[in-house]
Parts: sequence; structure tokens; C-alpha cells
Amino acid sequence: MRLIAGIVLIAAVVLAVSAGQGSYDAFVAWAYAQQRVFQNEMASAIGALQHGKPGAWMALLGAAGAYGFVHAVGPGHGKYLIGGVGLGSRVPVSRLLVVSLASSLAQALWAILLVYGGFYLLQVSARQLTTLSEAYLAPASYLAVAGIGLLLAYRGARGLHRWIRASRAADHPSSGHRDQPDDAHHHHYGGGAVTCGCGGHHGPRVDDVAAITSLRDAVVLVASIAVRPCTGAIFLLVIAWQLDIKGPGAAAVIAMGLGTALLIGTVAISSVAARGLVHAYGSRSGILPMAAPSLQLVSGLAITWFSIALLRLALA
Amino acid sequence: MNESRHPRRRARRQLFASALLGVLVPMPPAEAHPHIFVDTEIGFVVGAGQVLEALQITWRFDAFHTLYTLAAEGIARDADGGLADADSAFLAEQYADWSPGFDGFAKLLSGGDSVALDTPAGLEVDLADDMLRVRFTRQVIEPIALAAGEAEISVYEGTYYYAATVAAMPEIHGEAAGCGVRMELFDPNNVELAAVQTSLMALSREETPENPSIGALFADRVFLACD
Repeated sequence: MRLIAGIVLIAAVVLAVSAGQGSYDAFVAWAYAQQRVFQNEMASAIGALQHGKPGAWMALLGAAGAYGFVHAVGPGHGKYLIGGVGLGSRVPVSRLLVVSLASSLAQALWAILLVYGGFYLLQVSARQLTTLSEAYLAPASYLAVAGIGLLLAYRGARGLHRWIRASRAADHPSSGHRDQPDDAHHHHYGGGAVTCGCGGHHGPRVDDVAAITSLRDAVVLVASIAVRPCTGAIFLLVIAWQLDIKGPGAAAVIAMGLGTALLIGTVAISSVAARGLVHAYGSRSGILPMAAPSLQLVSGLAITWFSIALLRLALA
Repeated sequence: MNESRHPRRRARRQLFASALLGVLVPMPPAEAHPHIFVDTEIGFVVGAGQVLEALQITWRFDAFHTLYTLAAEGIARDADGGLADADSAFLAEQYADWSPGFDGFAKLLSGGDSVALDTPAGLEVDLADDMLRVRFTRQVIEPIALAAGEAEISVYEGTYYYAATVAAMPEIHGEAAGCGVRMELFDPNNVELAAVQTSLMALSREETPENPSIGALFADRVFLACD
């Protein structure tokens, strides 16, 4: 019965995702149309601000926040990374939300530092700034994200390898335990949830699948996303500097970052929910020791794949 | 007991693997996302004997990008909100300088083959409705006889950094008698096109431009045909 329920659940997810492909394209097209609307609204708000019209500040912040949200629907901005980490690792949703917010805000602050600092201290040109962002920082970000994807995949592969070794050990109990004398201590599934009926069956510890367990992991994630400032933010800051509306410009870029964080946060929640479904099914049917590292391996590879694709596009 | 469990476990494993693949394969591969929106307008210049001689192309950059361009170049608008002549001339010079391989967001095709166009001539820049407007003409290097078949222009930019779309029905200048135009705007709700787009995105960027008529499937297209 449970198995049937599991099959129905997974089939429903697969169907929904496959059928959703066409509407995903339509959704992205819709998001880009909205982006254009909010880009125009930012332009109008900047005009209103220059003429000292009341409400112009709020209009600019609102338009920039909405721009940040719809623009982040497109590739980049760490969606694949956050989504992949959420799907593949046992990271609590709260922590992933903090990372989403931190990366979007760090991206905004980095853009402000880069543009205002570049203009004030180094007298660089706007063109040099966009070139720096597009030609160097974007590829650097993709590379870093690809690296994290590989690391995630490696952790997943290691877990899977352990599971395979443990399965073999279960079939040939005499040979397996020599390699893994500590295996007896590695049952973290608790309460005999793994009812595989094979006494020597040892899988990876669930802890192995965890990511962002340390501040260092979180900082690496945030930095890999934030190193590449959003081009839209650079555009806005260049305009703000030139028109001498530096304060509103910086505030609007922070609002843009919050809008981006909202979208990335949605991705974070969805990915953790999707992982929850898979893990619930996996532990019910006793395949979690294989499913958890598999999911991590596949999501790590997917992150790497997307990053390399973006990198190729950026370098082409 | 073990023997009866193992095939089921294997079946579950297979089911699980296919479910994973099912979830992951349809995910959209990477594509760029637009930062700049360009409305384009196309004019066909038709000469005697129904020959396509030139294209008149207009770009309008979105208001936000217009602000950015003016700020980046340190250009202030004049009292009327327009551009000073010197600034217009300076921008015209900038926009006339095309990097190798740039096609001006408009690819001309005839019978499915790409048709060569001359470098942009008579380039003018001004502001219209707070949008930078760039207008220029490109001569068709070997004019096309339209009686043999329709001419097609695909409007798109390969990296999608610019979202270029057709903003108005194309016009015919010159010997317009017997000639007509039509447009096919890209519709993401068109499932067939969306499927093609999805499979195209799986190709590397180097693979797509070799066949512009495939890349053009997700572009706006305008056609000119004569009786």
C-alpha cells in the first residue's frame, strides 16, 4: 500500500514537472515581460526623483524590489546552487533561507562597493565596471559554483560508494567488515528505521550528506553567488552616481537584493520540500541509505552542469 | 525472505532512478537572461523589378538602459529633454562600431540561406519617448529577387543579453506594388516551439548559429513576399 502511494506520489511529481515544461517557458517569458515593466518604472521613478516629486523614493524602491524578484527568475543569482543544495543536502530550511538572504544582500553590497568605490577611488569608467563584472566576476562565480557542485557530487558519490560497499558486505559478511571496523557506530537512522532484514547492511551516515554545517560552508556559498554583482544593479548605480542620487540608488539596490532574496528563498523552500518528499518515501521504503546520497550526487552534478553551461555562454 | 525482497528492492531502485531522471532531465539548461530590451522596426527597401535592395532598421532601447547609456557616457539631456547635436553624433559613432559577428539583431534570410548585408549606413541617434532611438540602413550586398520567394528577417540576439523583439508591422518603401509583409512573433505558449526551444537550449552555443533558421525558431520573424 505504502509502495503504491509512493509510486503515485513520484509519478505525480514527474508528470507535473514534465507537463510544466511548456508553462515554465511561458512563465519565464512572463517574468521577462514583467522585468521590462519594472525597468521602465525604475526609469520613471528616477525621473520623478530628479524633479523632486513626492513618492518618487518609494516608487524607486518598489520598482527595484520587484525588478530583483522577476529578474532572478532567469538563470544565475544562485538559484541552481541554492536549489541543488536544498535538494541534495540535509540542510534545515531556515539555514538555507539565511544563506539566500545573505547571498542576495552581499551581492547588492558588493555592487555598491564596486561601482561607488570604483568611481570615487579609482575613477574607472562605467564600461570598465560592466566589463569587470561580465568578463571576470561572472565567470569566477560560475567556476566557484561549479566547484561547489562538484564537491556536493563528490560527497554524494562517497555516500553511494559506502552504500554499495555495505550492500556487498551484507552479501559477503566475512569480507566487508575488515574494511570498515567502525561501521557499527555509523547507524544514525535511529530506532531501527532501516528494516532491511540484512544484519550487516551499513549505509552512509546521514551526517555525511549534510552541508552548510559550518560557517565556512555558508560563507563559501554566499561568496560564490555574491562575487558576481547583478548587471541591473550596476546599471542602476551608474545612473545614480551620474545623476547624483547616490543615496536612493544604493537603497534601491538593497531593495533589489531583497527582491532577489525573496525569489531565491522560494526556491530554497521548494527544494527542501522536494527533498522532504523523496526522503519520506525513501525512509518508508527503506531505500534512504541509497536515495539520500544519490540525490546529492545528482543535484551536485546538475549544479556543475548548469554552471559550466553558463560559463561557456559567458566566455563565448 | 531475502530472495523475495531483492527483486522488489531492485524494482524500487529502478523506479527511484527513473523518477530522479524524470525530475532532472526536463529542467531547463542554462541560458542567459536579458538585461536590455530592444524594440526593433524593419523597413524593406524594394527596387524596380521587385528586388530587395536594403533594410531600414530602427532600434529603441528601453528607458532604463537609455538612462544607463547616457550616464555611462556622461551625457546630460538638453533643456527640451533631447540630445545635443554633438552628443547625438558621438552616440552615432559608438553605435556604428559593431564588433565582429554582430548582426544588428536582424538576420536576413532568403530560401533559408543567410544573406549578407553591408555595414550600417546613415546612422542617426535621438531620443523618442525617453528611449534612445537608433536608425540606420543596410544595403543587401547582392539584392534578392523577391519573385523567386519571400525574404525573411529573424530578430533576436543569440546570447539573450539583449531581448530584441519586433515592435511594429514592417513597412515597404519603394516599389511596393504587389508586395506584402507579415509577422510571426515568438509565442512561448506555443508548445511545439517551446519544445524546440528547450531542445535547442541543450545545444551548445557554438552549435546553434551554424543554422540560423533553427536559431530563428524562437525569434520574432517578419516576411516580405511579392506576387
